[in-house]
Amino acid sequence: MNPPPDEQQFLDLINGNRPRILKVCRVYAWNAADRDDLYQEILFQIWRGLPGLKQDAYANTWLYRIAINTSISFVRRRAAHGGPAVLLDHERLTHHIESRQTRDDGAEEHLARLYDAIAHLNEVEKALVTLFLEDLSYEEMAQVLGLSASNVGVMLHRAKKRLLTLMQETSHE
Amino acid sequence: MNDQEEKNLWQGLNCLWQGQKPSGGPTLTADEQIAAMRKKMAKLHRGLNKNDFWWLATEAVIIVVFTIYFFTTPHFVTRIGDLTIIGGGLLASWKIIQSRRSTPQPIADAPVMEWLKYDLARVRQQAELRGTLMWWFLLPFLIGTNLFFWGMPVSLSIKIGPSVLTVLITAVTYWLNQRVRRKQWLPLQQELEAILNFD
Repeated sequence: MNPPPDEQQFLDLINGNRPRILKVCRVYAWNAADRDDLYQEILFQIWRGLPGLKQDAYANTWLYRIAINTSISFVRRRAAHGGPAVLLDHERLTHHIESRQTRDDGAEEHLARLYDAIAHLNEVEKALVTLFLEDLSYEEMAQVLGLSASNVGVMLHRAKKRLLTLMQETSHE
Repeated sequence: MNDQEEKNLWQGLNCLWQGQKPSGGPTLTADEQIAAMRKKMAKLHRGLNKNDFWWLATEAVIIVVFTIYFFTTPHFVTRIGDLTIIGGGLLASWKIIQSRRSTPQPIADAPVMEWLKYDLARVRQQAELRGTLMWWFLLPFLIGTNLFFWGMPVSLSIKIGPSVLTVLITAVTYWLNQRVRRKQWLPLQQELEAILNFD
């Protein structure tokens, strides 16, 4: 049985990475209630996995692995219980309204369009684009995904192309 | 769009992404957060193998009831029906528990591709279980219950009722499962296979 997690280490980790976790939540969950549930679920998985974190130096990629794996499971579970696996129009609208309410300016409009386009990517592409936008190196992305750095390069290139196409399509809508 | 424009666009998106101040998420104090984690952990331990437990409990009840019938009824065909139901129950329990345990879940911090491979294995298993449901669950149930009722020394009209009912239950269960397989599990399997075969 794992030893109990170090509470202070846990609190430091989640407080220091709250924006990162919330961004992953926004990529995978499309309404405020789901995002809150997913956020708590990710924190719980961090809590459970913390005794297994060997060195703080790996905390960055470790945290993304947990956040993305938990998000993928969350989306799958939601779909299995009758919820949509993909973004529905009304959810897109809700998300858009929420975004506008948060900060009604051009930047948020662009950001909403970016998230909107990311929502149409598959799970690995979503992860890749998120990690790329988070400024992780190819090696770090490879560690998170369990791929070689060269595969990451190829897949990221395709995902970026697809994302740009999707963003162009949404801007024409 | 040329390469430079694309590069600039990505730089812009990168700045936008980095500059965002994501909101949301429950705002709990440190103590509340730790308490919430402890509570979830306690629930998790209580919930371990809950599904396995209910399957076994249901099957245990069925086996006990039909074992009693087996030893108390003097009619040969009914006893064969009892045995078929008991055997079918055991087979179904074994099949479900074995399939659930044959794919151990990776740890939460496993690489994402490993997690997706686990997902795919689980989805394939669900599709296979539902696809073969007739053989390992429905047919033993149908044959067993019909032998059970037809072996009893009662009038034909009393035998027909339960038979029609069991045929209907079998047909509806089969149809529902095939529908779920076709609409939910097979598309998901294809989606995951496409993600994992990226070359």
